[in-house]
Amino acid sequence: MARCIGIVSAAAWAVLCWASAAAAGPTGASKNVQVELVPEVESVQPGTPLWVGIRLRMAPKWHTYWLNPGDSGLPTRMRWALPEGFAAEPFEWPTPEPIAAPPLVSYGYEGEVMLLSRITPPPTLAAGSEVTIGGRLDWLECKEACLPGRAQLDVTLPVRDAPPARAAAAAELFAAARAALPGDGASWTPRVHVSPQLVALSFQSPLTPRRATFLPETQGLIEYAPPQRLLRTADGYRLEMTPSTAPAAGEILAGVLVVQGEGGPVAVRVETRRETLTAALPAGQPIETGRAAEGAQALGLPLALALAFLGGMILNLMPCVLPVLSLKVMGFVRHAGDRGAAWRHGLAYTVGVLLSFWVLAGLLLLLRAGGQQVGWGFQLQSPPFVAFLACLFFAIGLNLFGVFEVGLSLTSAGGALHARSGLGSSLAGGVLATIVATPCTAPFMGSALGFGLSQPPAVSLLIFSALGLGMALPYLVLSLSPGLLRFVPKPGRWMETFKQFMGFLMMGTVVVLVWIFGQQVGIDGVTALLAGLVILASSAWIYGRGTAPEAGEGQRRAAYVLSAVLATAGLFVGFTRAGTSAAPASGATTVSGGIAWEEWSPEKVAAARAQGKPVFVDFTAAWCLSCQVNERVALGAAEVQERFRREGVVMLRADWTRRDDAITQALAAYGRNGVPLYVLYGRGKSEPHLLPEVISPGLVLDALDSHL
Amino acid sequence: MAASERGRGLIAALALAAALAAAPARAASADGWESLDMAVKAFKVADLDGTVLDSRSLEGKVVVIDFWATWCAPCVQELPELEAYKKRIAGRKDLAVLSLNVTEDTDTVRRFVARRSMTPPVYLGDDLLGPYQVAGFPTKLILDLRGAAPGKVRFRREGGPVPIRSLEERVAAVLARRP
Repeated sequence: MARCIGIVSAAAWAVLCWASAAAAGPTGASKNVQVELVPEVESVQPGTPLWVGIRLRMAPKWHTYWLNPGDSGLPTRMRWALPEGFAAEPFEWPTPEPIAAPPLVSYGYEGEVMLLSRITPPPTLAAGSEVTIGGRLDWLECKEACLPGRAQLDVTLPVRDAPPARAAAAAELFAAARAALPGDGASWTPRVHVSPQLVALSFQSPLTPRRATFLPETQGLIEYAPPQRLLRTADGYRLEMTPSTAPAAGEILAGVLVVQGEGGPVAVRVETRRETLTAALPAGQPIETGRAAEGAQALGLPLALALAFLGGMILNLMPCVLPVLSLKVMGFVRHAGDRGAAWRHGLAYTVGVLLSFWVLAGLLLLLRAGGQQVGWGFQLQSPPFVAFLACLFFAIGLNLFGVFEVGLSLTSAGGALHARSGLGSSLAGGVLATIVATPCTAPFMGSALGFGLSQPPAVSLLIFSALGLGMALPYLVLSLSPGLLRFVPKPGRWMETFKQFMGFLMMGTVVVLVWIFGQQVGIDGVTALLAGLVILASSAWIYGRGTAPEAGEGQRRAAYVLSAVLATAGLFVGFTRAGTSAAPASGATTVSGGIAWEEWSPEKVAAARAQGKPVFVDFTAAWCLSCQVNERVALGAAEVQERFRREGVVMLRADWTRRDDAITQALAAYGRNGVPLYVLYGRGKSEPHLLPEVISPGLVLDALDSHL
Repeated sequence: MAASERGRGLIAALALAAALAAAPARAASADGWESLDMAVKAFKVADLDGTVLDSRSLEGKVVVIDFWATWCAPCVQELPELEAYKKRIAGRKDLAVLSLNVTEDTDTVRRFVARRSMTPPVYLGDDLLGPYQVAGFPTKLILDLRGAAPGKVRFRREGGPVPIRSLEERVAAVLARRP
């Protein structure tokens, strides 16, 4: 409050507020706000405190401010002019709402609010007389413009020696106003730790929070606009906030903590002494925020598991996994005759898939616990990993072409096809299938994974296991049911032809991987990788020649050494540029598929929505094959593009090809953990509409029909 | 002090009421700018260091005045764009932008100016609120101070953030009207 009195000169305010300098009474008004002084009682009893309300009714979209207005604004204040011996207490403020005006966030009220004040009359007041309670109310009303408002308000009440009767007309208003006040948060045992990097509010909560926001009563504690991060800790919850760039808060810190639980929001007022952060805070598990995350949470574990399982099965049909699967089919052909062997291989494959899903989940959880912003497919954001995959697939392709054969001693992932392959190769097949599956997101997977990663590690692992089981299931079933195995063709010469044909599929995969690599590191990196692949090919060729049946022992040894040297050289050359990164085309408008995409940023989304424009956001990545397919098939369709143009939709693209924490956070806010994600904001709609992972032109047009 | 302030306020309020009563009806166009043909009243404003600027020293220029305050979110939102505009027109002999803070004390404004790296000078413009009938923020005026004549207020816009293009167009329109 002192801030307001200090900075606004009374003279200037008087000039500004000339319009409301009307005669006193219980009501007043400015252009956009109607104000009223509402007593709760019909009479005053000497010495008995009474409540009065300052009721403000704002025109649509106009707002007034809370005690702490946030980044910009002024609190509403009353300068009481009371009879001798009366005392008025400061306002009790209902819980405000954050009001975004990017890049600013203010705290205030839209619609209607009633501020409460307790007034105590002196015990010496004479019954039978009348008293006038009132004062001068100053407020700031804002929308696209800010107008200071002022009104002189007063009410006259009789003084009676009996307990005052409640004013019936005001009862409802006071009940609503009291319900809107924050509760007492003392039992939540709040503690605030402050360091130059972090403001952390630790608390216990009787409900299970999905989201929390802290609104401090004083300036100079936190920055208001950055997102607040909620973590679950061993003994409660912690809300992590960005410290103010102009720190000025005192020793006692107070504010309102708003927690979204199962049954809607709960607000409590917390007050505590500031503590300096000296040691590291206990570890915590982030709780994803955002409305969509709530939707994902509402899934519940059984449904999330079912979705993950279903998604895992469908993952088999995604373009990423198909080449590897064809190898798997070959494996079945080979073992079809021997039922016992068949199910052992099916089991080994399942174990391979599960193991790699667990490793993936473990890595994801570890990195996230360390504060890294990573999600599904994160390993493909690393150029060395993509280069490694390209080399691996290239080698498998050469193997399929018959350039070289691999013995059991060197059982590689590609050995799944080799005549002498064992259980190990089936396991490796499962690993390989999982690795290549990550660039794809199947339907239903997105929300299941989003749910999984917002839960404790055990639940996350369960979700990942369901996904892996779903993916392995078709093979397990195939290997366990002799009836089905009868339909598998008999092994024969055709297998050699099929094997070589598969080699071309592998090379196709290499082309895709090189393209992804190129998006990440640029043309020089691609050239180095291709040169590396050529050297690798020569290594494989020499190995193949040296290990051919007609080769002598000396030749064989020379071939081992030479091919090992060349393989090392090939990898070295191929990886020389893997550490570099092509400059992202920042801020640029990229035209692809006939649509002029603007680079996504949260500010752009907010700005476009503030102007009432519809917004479409494409969360994508070069390595995400599902994304590429969707962009060409659905978003690239002429009628879809025409519709986007006609409706004036702001098209934003968030490219996750490289690591980008802002995008990872935004995905989390929508309850997701990977791409693709398509978000549509209709005109003036506050809730985003999320499209499924696999989209068609018709589906996009339908979404535009019903949500614009 | 309080009494004298109240006195000043009352006088200013009365003056403003009188001025408003005499003001012609106004209509804003689609981009929010109103066309005016109001005589400029000579003014003096002090910057944060107390250096006084006399409107007569701006003779011959088109002058954009921006009334703003730190408590006004739409004003703060548009400041970066206005800053960029100020930099673009720096050095122009025919054009000036005056940043007029209202209702706040020097220390508050000085802290804000430093935090937001605003280019000085920033003036304290309370005294102009009454004469120019400014009651909402941000408000912008475009003044044409040509020759020895008192000059005219040509355009006015309340609310923000203002599209800078529309400001540039209005400034160009005023300049184009000159002989």
